[in-house]
Amino acid sequence: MSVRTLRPATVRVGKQSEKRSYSPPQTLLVNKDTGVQIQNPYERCSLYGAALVAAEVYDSDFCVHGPQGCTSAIKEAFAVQGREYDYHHSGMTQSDIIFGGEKCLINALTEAFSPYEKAGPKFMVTSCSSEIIGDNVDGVAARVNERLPLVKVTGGGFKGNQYSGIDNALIGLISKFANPHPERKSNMVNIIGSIGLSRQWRADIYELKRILENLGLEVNRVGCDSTIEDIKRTSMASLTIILMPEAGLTAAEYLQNRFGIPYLYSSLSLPLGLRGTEVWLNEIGDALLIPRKRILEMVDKEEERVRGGLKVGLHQMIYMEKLSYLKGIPVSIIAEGSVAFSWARFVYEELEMKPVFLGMRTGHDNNQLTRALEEWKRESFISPKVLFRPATDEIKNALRDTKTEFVMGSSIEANLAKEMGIGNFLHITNPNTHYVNINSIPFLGYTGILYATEAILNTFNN
Amino acid sequence: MAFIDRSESKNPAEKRMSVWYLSELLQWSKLGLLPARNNMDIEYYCSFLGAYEIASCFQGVATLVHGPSGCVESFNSTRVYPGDSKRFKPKSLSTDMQLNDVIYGASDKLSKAILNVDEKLNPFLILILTNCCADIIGENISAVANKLSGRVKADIINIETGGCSGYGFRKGADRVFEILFDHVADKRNCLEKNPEPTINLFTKRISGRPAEVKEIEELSRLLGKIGVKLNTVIRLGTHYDDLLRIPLAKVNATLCYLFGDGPMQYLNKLFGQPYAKVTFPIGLRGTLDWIKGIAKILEIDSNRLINDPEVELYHKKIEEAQRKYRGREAFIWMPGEKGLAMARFAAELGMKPYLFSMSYFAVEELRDTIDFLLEDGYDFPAVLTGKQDIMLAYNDRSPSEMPILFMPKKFWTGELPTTTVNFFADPILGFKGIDYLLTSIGKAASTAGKKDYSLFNRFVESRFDAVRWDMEGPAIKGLETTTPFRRQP
Repeated sequence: MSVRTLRPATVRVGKQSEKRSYSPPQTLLVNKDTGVQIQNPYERCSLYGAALVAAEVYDSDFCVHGPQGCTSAIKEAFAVQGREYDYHHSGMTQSDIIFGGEKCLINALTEAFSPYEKAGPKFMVTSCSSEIIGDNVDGVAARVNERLPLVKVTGGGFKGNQYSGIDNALIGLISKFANPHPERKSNMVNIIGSIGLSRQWRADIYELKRILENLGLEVNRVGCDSTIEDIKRTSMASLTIILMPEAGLTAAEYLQNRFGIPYLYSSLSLPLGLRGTEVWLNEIGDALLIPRKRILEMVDKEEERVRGGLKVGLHQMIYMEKLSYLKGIPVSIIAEGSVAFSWARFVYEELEMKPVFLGMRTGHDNNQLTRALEEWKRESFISPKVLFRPATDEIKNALRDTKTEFVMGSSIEANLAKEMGIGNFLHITNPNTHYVNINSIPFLGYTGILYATEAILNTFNN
Repeated sequence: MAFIDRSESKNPAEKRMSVWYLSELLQWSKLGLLPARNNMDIEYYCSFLGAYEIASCFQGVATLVHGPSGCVESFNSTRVYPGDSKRFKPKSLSTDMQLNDVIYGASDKLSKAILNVDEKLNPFLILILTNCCADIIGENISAVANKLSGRVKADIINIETGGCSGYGFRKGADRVFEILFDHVADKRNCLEKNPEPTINLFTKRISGRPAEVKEIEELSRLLGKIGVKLNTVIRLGTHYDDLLRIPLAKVNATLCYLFGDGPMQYLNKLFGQPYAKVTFPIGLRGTLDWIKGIAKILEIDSNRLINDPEVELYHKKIEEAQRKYRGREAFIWMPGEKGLAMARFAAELGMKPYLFSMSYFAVEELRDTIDFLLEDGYDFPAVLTGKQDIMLAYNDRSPSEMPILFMPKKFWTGELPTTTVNFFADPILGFKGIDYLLTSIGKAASTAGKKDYSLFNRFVESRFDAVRWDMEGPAIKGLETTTPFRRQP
């Protein structure tokens, strides 16, 4: 029995990677009809990304050096992560901009550090204002008592988006806390998820952790319900697994460069669906020299569980009715590049839907992704329209031209779909302004297949 | 003389199969020797439910079941109401007979129900069906209906259709059609036909499928090429007014001959309407045969379609497919007439079809269809036993030599390439259907020997623990058997 893989996963071992420079997004998108420049609605600033990570570290404090308005980004980030927020800001005003803001930063830090000491890291994050005027934040940081676990992160919005903010925060944590002389564990892996970038991201991590633990691996969650101890252990792992290159790739490269820990993200991007998860596991197994037979045994068992789960209720007519809608339904997917590709493959190969448009919000500069996409299009019998970094009106035109009947994306696409009378929508990525998340429900891994399929089927209303 | 199944064939390739050719099975059927009972049919339902399914199809017609409500509720939950039928969903109306009603009779209840239905739903016609209870206790429906005839606006027709009659689904369905057509004949003063060439189209048993609208549009388009129009389409949601228009058409035709044969024969008897003996228009030849069958009855030259450039285009597509698939086995595991039509399409592609879902009672039911397929030169082998074992054995072949399965859903058959054809969702009739099928077959062929990741095409088999019952003596007293009662794992 052969398993198709599009190309091997990128596993870099002991090799210097190219210095990654942040290429700013084309945030000013021009509406072709009106000529008006439009801000990219999907991207938040680097500060927001850093806050997403901070919210995931137990008992962390977050102090932003900037005007008080910047706290709105932090508030949103903590809310998205479902955490109570505890943050501070230096409250820069005009005089601080003119004369320098180190003093207000020190006041803010003092407030953040007292009257009690929380166990978690103290994030000190710059904002646009402090970055532009060039406040000597490093100098302030040097004055902070060494016993206080201060993590300095660059957060200027003009310098990066939420993805780079996530990476910066992770690197800040790892550089501060990771044990510099670790005892390497051969069966331990770091896993970095799509931190705060989807509703299910945390549940996804736990599901993938469960699967990897069934393979006998010890899984260190990085930036997911983490403690300082978890960050310390990052240098002990034998492999870093990142789910999407948009979040965590730079941190993974940092771990490789500093500690020689190779990293991996799958050739099929997310471990979504039966094939996505199987390929992901095989590639991890190859990287860690786990016998293929062991992986196959586990895959067979999990698959049986999934297929058994899907079989339940198959004789209910409502199930059959909804399945009949599914087959061949034209679906458009707008999300980060790796996410959009993964979902397109899953819904086409495993649910027999028909992807007609992929709006790839990122990934135009990711060679592995673009190659995988082209290869998949060649092997499949479909050729969906693909647009990188599409503007909202381009998305609308694409939805209309492709006669889309099902949309997968963020709340922005949810509104677009509603406006265009497309009744079927599944929320798979940020931003989320529609759904309350109380239960922890994954879409990745094997358990995720059952939830994702149920969610898709239930979008079809009677 | 008795029918004895065979398990060996002269043909070495068929050695492991119990294979009968359709012509052989038909002969046995005509001799009345196939082991099939009267009430066995493909649908596995009784005549009451057959009647109910047809009676409740029409807008403007209220179907009131005199009896307990369980039959109707359970049946309704098994009927699919896919997309298009959102415009019409049959109401389940019954007198919901209880114990007292069975003992003392329920005529009063029936009267009240009829008045209620007439007032609330304002139908043109009320059909009263009886299920087993009302039939067994001998309820006098006609008396009730006659008493009320002046008090309700709707016409009332009573149909005694109890399921315990022993007849199958088909009988009940045909009976209701007959009654409805009689009613149409009563209603119409003038039976002058439309001078233009028009047809009534009967679809198939389960109507209202998402694919149905596309298929009817496609067939209407193709009929339009020879100047034929649709007078009315008999399907879920057809209006009462369209029922009254039925006599206006020149000819009747059907998608599924098994479904349409009974009503078309009756219309022929009642209104002198000829009908086309055609089956599902699947594939190029299947579609052209379907059109030609209709054109012949209408005395229209079908060459207008045959010479159409679109036909030439599809000829080329079929020839290309023949180059790819010639000689390859096609295992058709699709029930009823669909299976025969699909086998014909597979033969058109140069494949060697085997029918895997044929059964004795299916042969009995499909006699007419099998007859005219044989007349056209199609005689397919049918595999009657050992089907799953056969399919599993083919896993050993190289991928390019594996048979291609045609199934509505893919059961666990190892890694054999499978074209799943879902009649609810897949528009496979007419020329556009050819494109769909060729893409599907191509996709299946390209995955031969590879793991199938599709979630709903493949089902794990249920497992249970084998138990040995240590009985002393036979399972049923007084009934000795030579084989010990044993569950097979």
